[in-house]
Amino acid sequence: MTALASRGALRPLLAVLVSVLFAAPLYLALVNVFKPADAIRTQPLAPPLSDFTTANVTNAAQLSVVQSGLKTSLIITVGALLLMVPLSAMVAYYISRADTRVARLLMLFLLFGLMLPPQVVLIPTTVILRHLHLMFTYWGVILNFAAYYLPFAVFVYAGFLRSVSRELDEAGAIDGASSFKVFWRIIFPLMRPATASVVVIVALWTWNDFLSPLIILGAAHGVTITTGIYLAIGAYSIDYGQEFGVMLLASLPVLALFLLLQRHFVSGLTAGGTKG
Amino acid sequence: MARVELSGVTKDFSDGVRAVDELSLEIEDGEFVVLVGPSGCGKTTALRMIAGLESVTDGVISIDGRVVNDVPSAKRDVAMVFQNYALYPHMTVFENMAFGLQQRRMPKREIEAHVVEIARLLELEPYLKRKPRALSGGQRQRVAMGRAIVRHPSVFLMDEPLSNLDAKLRVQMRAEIRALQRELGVTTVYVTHDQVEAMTMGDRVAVLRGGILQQIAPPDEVYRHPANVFVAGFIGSPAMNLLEATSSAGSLNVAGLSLDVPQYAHLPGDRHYAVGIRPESITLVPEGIAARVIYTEDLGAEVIVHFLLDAPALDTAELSEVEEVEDDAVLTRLGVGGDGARVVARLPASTSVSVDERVEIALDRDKLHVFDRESGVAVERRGESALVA
Repeated sequence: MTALASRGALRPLLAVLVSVLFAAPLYLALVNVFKPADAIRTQPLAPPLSDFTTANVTNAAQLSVVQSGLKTSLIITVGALLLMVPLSAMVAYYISRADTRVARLLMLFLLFGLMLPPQVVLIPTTVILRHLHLMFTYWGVILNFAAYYLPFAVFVYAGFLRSVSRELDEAGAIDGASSFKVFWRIIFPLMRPATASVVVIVALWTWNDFLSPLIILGAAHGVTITTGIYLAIGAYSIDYGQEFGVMLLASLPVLALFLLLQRHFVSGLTAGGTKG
Repeated sequence: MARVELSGVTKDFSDGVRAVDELSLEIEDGEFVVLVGPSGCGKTTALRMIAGLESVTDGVISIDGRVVNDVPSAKRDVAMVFQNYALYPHMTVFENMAFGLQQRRMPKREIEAHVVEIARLLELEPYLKRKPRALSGGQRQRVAMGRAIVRHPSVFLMDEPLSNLDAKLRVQMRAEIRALQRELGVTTVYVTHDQVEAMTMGDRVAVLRGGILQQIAPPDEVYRHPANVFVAGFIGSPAMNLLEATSSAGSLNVAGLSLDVPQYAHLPGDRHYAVGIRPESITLVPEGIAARVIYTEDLGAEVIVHFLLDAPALDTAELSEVEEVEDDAVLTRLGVGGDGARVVARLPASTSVSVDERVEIALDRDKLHVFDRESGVAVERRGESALVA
């Protein structure tokens, strides 16, 4: 009884501690981005009350490394998503509907891909990309991300497709639609909640990745926003105000994407199509 | 319009289960055939094979003389109404109905005209812009029908389309579907496990058991002349009563009583049979077969009375699959009644009997059915008879 009671009291305390651990950097970034540099140094924890300024953000936005970094990150993220989303949805559709050994093996193969850390596959990936003459190109980075996150997306889609009645496929087939049309006109639109999850998560991972663009794209051939932040840090002195401004600008697009798609997380889109 | 023909059609699933076994059916142009049977009898599998949603292991399916075994669903010119409707949830009622026509590359104006015409027929016009989730069960069912009708297919296939509706709506839709099918004259194959649907809707009823066709005939013939013990027990509610009987010199010994039944006078002596009698062919008489009332169901217009006779109960594998006979078994397990043959009678509402009352009953000899005890097959009738005690 006592042990249970103490465990009951410990749980909220642990939750608060973990929350603080995650919220602290966010709080620091948010309060300091709107303060002048000297206030950041002297009172890093205080909120920007009397000395509120947006200069850090406007200064950061004028940096060429930020401008080109945002552009490159946008191209790479959108490119990877445009390639990966339909492809992974189609693979998942095949896996979930075809009751064959090939489909099961394919799923196992893709699950194996989920277990590999990105650092492990980075060197072999560069070798392949070099052979394809895609090193130091946008296409190289896009293909790398699309391929690396494909198993994850397939896994999400395949799980979601279990809840989509096969009768819809059959109704489409009887209505005269080809397999591709059944997928594209009937099944894929119903996968919107899963697509929203995949887009938000993969966009976040792609946007935030540092190592792959650094190696595949190479600093000389362009910077993403993450490699841009790295380049913006001076060797001998650090302008914290500007750094926080860059970080805010780097986070805004992903935050906006999440806010845009969050309503699609709410499933229930399939309600009404079949009984129950 | 088309003629559908199944010839020795067999379906084996990969797990070794034979769902349909050498099914042969000839469905005439414009005919409404109902496939009926208990769960797992292969009726839905048979329908799905006609639709092209299941491959055929053996045999031939042809539509309008064209063998369609290897023809994809899209090219069979069939339309199907699914048990769960299978409406496209992200499309409006209009888009749901138009989808099939769009696949046939029909011009937009024609599509609109077709959809509006059918929507009007089904009283769906006010709902054309709604999504399926904003419709009631009955309206969704109508949309599913509309989607099938709008394409003017050669064959309608319906897989228990009314099973998700409440009892009142089911009765209404039953009549509507039948009237619509008559108006359109489209060949229809309708699957149900509900024998009332089968009896009221079909031009002919095909009864299946374990993937094997038991009988195909017009509803009244299936009811009046069941081909075997299974059909006798399955069709009719309450089910036909089945009793052990032996033959001896032109008469039948049933429940301890020797009955002269001229139409079965040709039966050889000393053989075991199963005798069937419908609940409405039993009456209460001053002197007849002794019976004890074990259960009554007052339905207002009539009373269903369950009796226990001092005679052995008939127990066959065929009957164990029939739901209503199963209900009797449940009553036995619950301790209602006791050992012996159970008989159900449909009596007039004025009948006044109480549980445990001892009465005498009579069986209408004209309406007796005799089945071979081993094979379960109906024995041929000859001549006529009269009511006996």
